[in-house]
Amino acid sequence: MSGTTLAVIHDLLLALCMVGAWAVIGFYAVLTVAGYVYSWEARRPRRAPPIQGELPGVSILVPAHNEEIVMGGTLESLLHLDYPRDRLEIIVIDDSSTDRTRRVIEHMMATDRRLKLIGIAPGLGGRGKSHALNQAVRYARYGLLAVYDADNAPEPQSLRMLVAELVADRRLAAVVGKVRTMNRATNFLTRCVNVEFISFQWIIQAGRWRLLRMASLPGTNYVIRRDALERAGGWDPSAIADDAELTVRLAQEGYHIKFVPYAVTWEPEPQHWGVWLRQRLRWARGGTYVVRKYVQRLIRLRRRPLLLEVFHLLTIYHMFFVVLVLSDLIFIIGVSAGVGFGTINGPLLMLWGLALALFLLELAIALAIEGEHTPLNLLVGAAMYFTYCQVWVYVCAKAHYLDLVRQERLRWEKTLRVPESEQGAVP
Amino acid sequence: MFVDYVLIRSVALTLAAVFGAALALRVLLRWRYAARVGRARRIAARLRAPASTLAAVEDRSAALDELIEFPDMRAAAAAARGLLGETDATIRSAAIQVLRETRALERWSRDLRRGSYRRKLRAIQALGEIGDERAVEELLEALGDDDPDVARAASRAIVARDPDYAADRLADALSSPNRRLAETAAATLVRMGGDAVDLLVGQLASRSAQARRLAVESLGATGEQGPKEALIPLLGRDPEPSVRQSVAEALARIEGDGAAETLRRVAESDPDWFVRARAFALLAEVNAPGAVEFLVESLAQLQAGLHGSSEDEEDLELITDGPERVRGAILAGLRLLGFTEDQVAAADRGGSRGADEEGATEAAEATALLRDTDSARRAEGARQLVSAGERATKALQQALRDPDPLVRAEAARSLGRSGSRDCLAPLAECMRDPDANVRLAASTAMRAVVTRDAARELRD
Repeated sequence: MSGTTLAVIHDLLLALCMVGAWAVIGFYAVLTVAGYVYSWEARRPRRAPPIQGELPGVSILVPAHNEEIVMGGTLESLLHLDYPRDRLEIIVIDDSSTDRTRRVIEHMMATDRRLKLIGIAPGLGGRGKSHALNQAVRYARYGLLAVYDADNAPEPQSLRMLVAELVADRRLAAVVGKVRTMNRATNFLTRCVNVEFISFQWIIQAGRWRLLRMASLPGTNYVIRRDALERAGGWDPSAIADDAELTVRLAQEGYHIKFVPYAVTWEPEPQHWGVWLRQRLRWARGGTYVVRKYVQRLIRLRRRPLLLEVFHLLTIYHMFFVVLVLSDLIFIIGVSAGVGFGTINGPLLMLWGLALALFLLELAIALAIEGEHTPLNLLVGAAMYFTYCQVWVYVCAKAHYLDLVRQERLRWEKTLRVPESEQGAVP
Repeated sequence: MFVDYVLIRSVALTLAAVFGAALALRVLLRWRYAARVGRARRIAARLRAPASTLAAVEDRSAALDELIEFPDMRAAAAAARGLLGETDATIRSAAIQVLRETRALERWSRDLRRGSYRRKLRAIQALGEIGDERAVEELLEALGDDDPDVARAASRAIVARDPDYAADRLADALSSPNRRLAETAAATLVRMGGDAVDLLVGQLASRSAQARRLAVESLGATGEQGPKEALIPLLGRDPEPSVRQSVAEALARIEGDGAAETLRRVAESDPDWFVRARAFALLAEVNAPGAVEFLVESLAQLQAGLHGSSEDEEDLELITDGPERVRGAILAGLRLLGFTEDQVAAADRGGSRGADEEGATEAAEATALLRDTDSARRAEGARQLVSAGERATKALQQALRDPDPLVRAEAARSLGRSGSRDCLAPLAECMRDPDANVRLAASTAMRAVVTRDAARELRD
């Protein structure tokens, strides 16, 4: 292939990359601005908004499978929530744990009446979080359901804040709080996850709420109305990304989901690349399941939030993946064919650089909103594009391979937990 | 693209001028306020002068009037606040009068109800310094603030002041419908100590269950032995389970293992399942003498009456209330007392004699034998476990590590007679045993397991 042909291919690919990257970044730029505006509107109050009359009853659901490392701490945090004792129950669903999870729960149950246990028999469990939650709902007493993962440490006021927001607006099906990373200072991976989570919540969640009154359920730290859940049909047992899938159905029913950034929970994130990869593969496959489930109905959809939800999942797992691949291909072709960047028209490369700068600016704004705009975090953000984000290429590629080529069935796989001695302290 | 530097410079200079003017105005206003406060303080200083002569008294009175009539009320209030630290009651009451007349008290009351967090804290500090009846009333109201930090600050201010009548009001507040107020009032009484303990004991007879429960919890928190006699009767007569539970916890806290007898009574006879469960747990927590035997015996009695709570169609185990919770608490208590998982399981099995008769007795007794100090008895236990089937497998696998080779050999033989393929790995490790009998028993056992499995497969 002649050098000219290669150069043309090179430039075409670069142009495609530009269009794709700018579409994604432009979309996120709009969300970033909206998220920033919302951060001013939702400055952290000292206390939860007042509620007329008595606080409503809340059933907290905590699905657990082999969570002996983290279960005790999570239950302690839940028992210390600032909420009337006689309006709260905590239902732990022991999904066929084979470690000491059950013993930890029994020990805590001997100290507090509010704790209850649903045990799924060995051999019949492992069907995923959705299945466990659907079982628990049948025995929940109250009309508001709060969901927490087994490794969470919610702040004492967080539940009151979520409930206060939910009861103040009947159009809301659910309210979601913020998730922060407990072990964010452990290593480069956890710092990247910390930056990613902060960016996701202040750009995606806050931006979507501000523009379209539609955040996304995050899997933990949210409160949902029981009647809305029942109207939407409960959690989908086939969906690994139960949160994203339920979000779409709630949107179909005409509900809104509000992001409440001052209701905070802390959780440890994977510290090892192997654990992180498995977790993200599960998320990627879960997300593409949602896309496949609803993309055929896209044409008939009238509700903007629903379109946005599906488009958002497309951008994360498909467009971003394609953009990253094209971007990497350009470098490879350019280097291997000896074309080099000297033959590229200046503006195209400059546009690529500007797109990267805008991406970094969005990260910096999100970090600043959270008060984490330290030089180290900004450096991590800059390094992320060339390291952490590139690993997403492998994750998405493998997800597509398993879904489309091997057609492997979706299975729930839990994330390996970090021992408490290695977790950071909750600030 | 051309940059109009002249325009930018003009805009920047204008902004700087506006900013500078605002800053200068602010400095000027603050200086004038400081000057007024200085004047007010000089007047207030006259209030400190000893009133030993008529002229001094008249001068004090005149100073008071001047302060009240001072053109800047805030400055006058700031000056008067400086007098609140005086020990002379006359000076303090003069200062409070100034604060009242300059509406400072009103302002602080308003801030306490509707102000921002910082304003509330400033108001609490000021009212705490005043400490008169009205100020304490305001602070008592603040105990019920939605913000727990504000409530705690008010509590600390009251304790620092310690007015006699606040204790009575705090005791009454235990039955307030505002939960935060009631709980903070209880915590404040605990901090005050002394006569507050008598007031808490008085609240044990309150009509409000919330007040009784908070009083019990507070008495437990003080750790004092005195109220013990007042608490015990509540176990038999209080209709509210949460109160009885709190009494059991308070007694455990006050007496430690000395509360064993009382806790046993509660565990056996309280009408509420959770109070009983809590009593069992407390017996373990205080490591009461005889707790192990009591717990094991109670478990056996409980199992006889237990009905399964599974939902057959979903095979779910539901532990929300009732005897299952009590059982869970007993098992948790046994673990707390040092039982291993095997011992807990054996106790649980031993307790389920009424529900499952197939080898349960044998398994429990044989497992108990495995813990005997006499190796011959341990070997006997290993032999007996062969008939207990799969339940005993784990105990037998552990017995393969017994220090006595006789026990190890018997365990290997028993596994050979009853074990499944899961036993092959631990049996294979026995092939490295220093004792020849153990190695022989292990190899025979492995052959038996494999042959039995093969025959089963052929049959199927």
